[in-house]
Amino acid sequence: MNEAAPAMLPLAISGLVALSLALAILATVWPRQAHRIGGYGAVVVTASVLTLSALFLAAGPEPESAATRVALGGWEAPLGLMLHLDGLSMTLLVLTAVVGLATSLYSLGYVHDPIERRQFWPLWLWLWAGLNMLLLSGDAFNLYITLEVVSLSAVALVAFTGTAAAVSGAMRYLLVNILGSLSFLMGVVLLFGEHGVLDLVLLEARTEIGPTERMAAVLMTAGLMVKAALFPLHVWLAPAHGSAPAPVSAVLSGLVVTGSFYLILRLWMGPFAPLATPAFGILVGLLGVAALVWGSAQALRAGRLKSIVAYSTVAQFGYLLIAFPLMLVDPEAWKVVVFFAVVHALAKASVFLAAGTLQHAAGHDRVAEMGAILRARGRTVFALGLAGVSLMGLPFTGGFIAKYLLLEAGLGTILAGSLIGVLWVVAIAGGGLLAAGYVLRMVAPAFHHGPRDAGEAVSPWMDWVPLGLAVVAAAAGFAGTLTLHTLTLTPGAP
Amino acid sequence: MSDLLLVVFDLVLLVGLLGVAWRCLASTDLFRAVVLFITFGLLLALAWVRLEAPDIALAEAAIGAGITGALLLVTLERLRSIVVERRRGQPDEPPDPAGADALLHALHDPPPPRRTFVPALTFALVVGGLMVTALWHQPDAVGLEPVVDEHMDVSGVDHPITAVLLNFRAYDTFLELAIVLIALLGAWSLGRYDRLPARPAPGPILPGTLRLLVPVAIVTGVYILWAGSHAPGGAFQAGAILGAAGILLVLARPRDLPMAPSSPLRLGLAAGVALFLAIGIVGLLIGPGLLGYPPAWAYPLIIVIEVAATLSIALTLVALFIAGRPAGDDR
Amino acid sequence: MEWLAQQLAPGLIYPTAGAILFALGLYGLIRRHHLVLRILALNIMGSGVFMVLLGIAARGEGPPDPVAQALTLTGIVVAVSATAFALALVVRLTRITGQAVMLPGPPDDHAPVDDISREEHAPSAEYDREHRE
Repeated sequence: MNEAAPAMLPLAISGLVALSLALAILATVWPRQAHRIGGYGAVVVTASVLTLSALFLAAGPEPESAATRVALGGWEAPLGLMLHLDGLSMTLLVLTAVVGLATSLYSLGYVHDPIERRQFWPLWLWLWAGLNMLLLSGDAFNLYITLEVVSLSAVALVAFTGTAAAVSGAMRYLLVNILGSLSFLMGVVLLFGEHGVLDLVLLEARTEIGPTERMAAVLMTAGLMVKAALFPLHVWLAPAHGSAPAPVSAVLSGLVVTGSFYLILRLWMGPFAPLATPAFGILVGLLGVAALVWGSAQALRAGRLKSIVAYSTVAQFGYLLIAFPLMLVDPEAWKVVVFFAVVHALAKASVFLAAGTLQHAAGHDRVAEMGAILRARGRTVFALGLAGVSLMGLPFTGGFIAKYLLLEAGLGTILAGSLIGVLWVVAIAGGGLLAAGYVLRMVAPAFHHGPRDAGEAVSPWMDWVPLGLAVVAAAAGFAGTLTLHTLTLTPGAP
Repeated sequence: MSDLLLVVFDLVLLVGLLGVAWRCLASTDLFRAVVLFITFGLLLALAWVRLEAPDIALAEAAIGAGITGALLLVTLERLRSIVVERRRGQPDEPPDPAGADALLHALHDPPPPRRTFVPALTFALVVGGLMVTALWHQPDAVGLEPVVDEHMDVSGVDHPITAVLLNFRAYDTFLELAIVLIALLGAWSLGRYDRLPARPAPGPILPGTLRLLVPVAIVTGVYILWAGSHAPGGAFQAGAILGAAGILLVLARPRDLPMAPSSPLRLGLAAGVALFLAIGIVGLLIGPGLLGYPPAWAYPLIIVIEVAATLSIALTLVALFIAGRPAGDDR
Repeated sequence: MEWLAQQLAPGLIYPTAGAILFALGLYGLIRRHHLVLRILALNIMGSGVFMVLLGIAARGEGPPDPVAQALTLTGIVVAVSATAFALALVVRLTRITGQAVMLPGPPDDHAPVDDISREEHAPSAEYDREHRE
């Protein structure tokens, strides 16, 4: 097994790409069976990703040689396109598979109208395939194309309910995404003009600090920040995520946003690494604190369940920005940041799915009027609470470990003599309190006395999947060591 | 001397392009903006010829100016008919207090407020200025032309751009086909199609012209597709030309669109990606890798993919013009 | 004269003009509100990117870089797809709200919630029923 693993890896990587594309095409051609293709396909894709990760770990490479690169069509870079798998992309592929599987199963119950099913599944399978390809891409221009695959299918899914709010949210989301993509592409073009290659590894080898690198870094990072809704470019997020169907919100907040963040991280650990200066890090960190405060304040004020969750995404992504200055002091901290993003994605997806179940039962999602439903639906409230606890970072959850590690990195900054480290530590700790506030707003009515009303019947998928995913999010702490180990298998990263 | 003439030509062209783009974005009348945008596309095609990119010029004229222009014009017509319909629906509605006609709102954009002028201009100037600085510091010619040239003999075709698109970077091209398809799936998910608002011109002129134009378009499309293996041309340009012919046919009979049954229609739309991926998977199992071909088979396989891609692109562009999904798709 | 022609070589002035087009599109995107104009502005930004790319490809003495040209072709097709979808969204939005501009901000707390998981849902299905020919 151990000897065969390195030889099998390239085939398995190409196979995963081909499989996810084949499912999307099959569902497009055969919409009547699209939900079956999607349901069974989700299981198969998840199984293949897990197999791939087993192969990747069994290959047991040294961190320096851990990246598996596959030349598509047999053409090596710089002529051809390379797929690129390392610890970072492997971790996020597994995350995508877990959330994707949960969302697919949930959608089996959620999207039941035969006509809507035919529209929903092909788009969702294209989105999933796009995410897999984005995580495996090793070429700057190909990244732009995969970003477009992801954003076009995501926008179509946001508009899916067809209300004024949803279509308007989708419109804003589309314009913002095209703007982000064009900005990213302009950066790619500038880099190509300077170095004449598009492959990320080759680009990294040729990078030196110059006007092209600076401007490309600004354009590409700004484009991705718009897409990831990082503060202050977050204004589109709540309208889009809050008005999309619940499984779509779960994927958008859990995976699509995380995908853009992944790309920022990958670029700044690769070609743009020499550009990161302490002053820049502090600026990004301050943006993170602002995102944390603004997002939490909005989440504490919002009247609708899904709006609360959507604003909390803005807040939680503040942590990822705060992590930048920490990483400049302690380069190893990036692994903690990725782990935090993974736990956040799992918890956030399950909160959105639980919110979708409650909204379905109640027929609305106005928090003030949900008491009766909450009291009657213990299982879903438990899922909401469990995932919420992970978001807050209470002990014994994945979120706790992630935040504990972040705090440790923050304290390390203070010990390293940086006064501003105090602000980071206060923000990380305080953010947990704010999160407790808005999570309590969602679940507290369940513990008041009052009438109970289970509302509309929900399908078993919608009943159990949020709980399952919440348990996974809470238990993610046990996978912490494995995740951090997988992440060390990223060449070029500290 | 001829160098100087070329420089003058470049400057006039670029100033013209920037001027048209500026006028387009400054228009308050949407129709005017769209016409200026189509002009902009045609001027761009000229610029691409000047930059020795005839393939791109062809694509820009057919897709950038042609198809995009048709899409924009039909959108304006749709917006107009929506507003007219809404007004007819509510005859008692009091007149707009500002005196602005609702119709004006759909097809006009009032001049932007003065307070955004300075920040927007400053922002654009800073971004543009930084990009220009970066570009002026770049070295001459560091591209991939030599590498491509070296591998032309094993690519299966004689035209470098086709070799890059369908062989060296076939993955990008595959995903590009996928994006066209996803855009259509997105447009279809928004609802069924509405009747086209176009008012067919009475009389024999349109049908007569079509009878002449459509065969010409088909012949041109097929020629451009065939030429792509050794000269400028290829699947995308050919698909756009065939798509344009399809759009003309749709326009000639806006009231009775052909109702293709769901399965063959979807099969046709996805034929390009499906065949591309199928051949790509065979390449993974017995060839050099995913989306690769054994060199001896490269030429015929590329031709097969291009034919399927052309048909799918043409069909998809027509469907995007019609916008909503056909009623048959829900059965 | 020689010197001037060298300074104004296509490999330099076309990328410059492309960068200006990009900035111009950005300016239009910020300033204008009608969605069709915003889509036009994004398209002009895209054309600016393609002009930079093709200008870079035309630098130097030899034949132009075919990879850059192939990328541009891909980019043009992506742009037309995104534009077509965006226009379909504009039409849909105008049909619902009567105006081709975006609603300000997130849905307010009392806007009707539409949940596609419920039976009675589906304004789109209703809408389709009305418009069945």
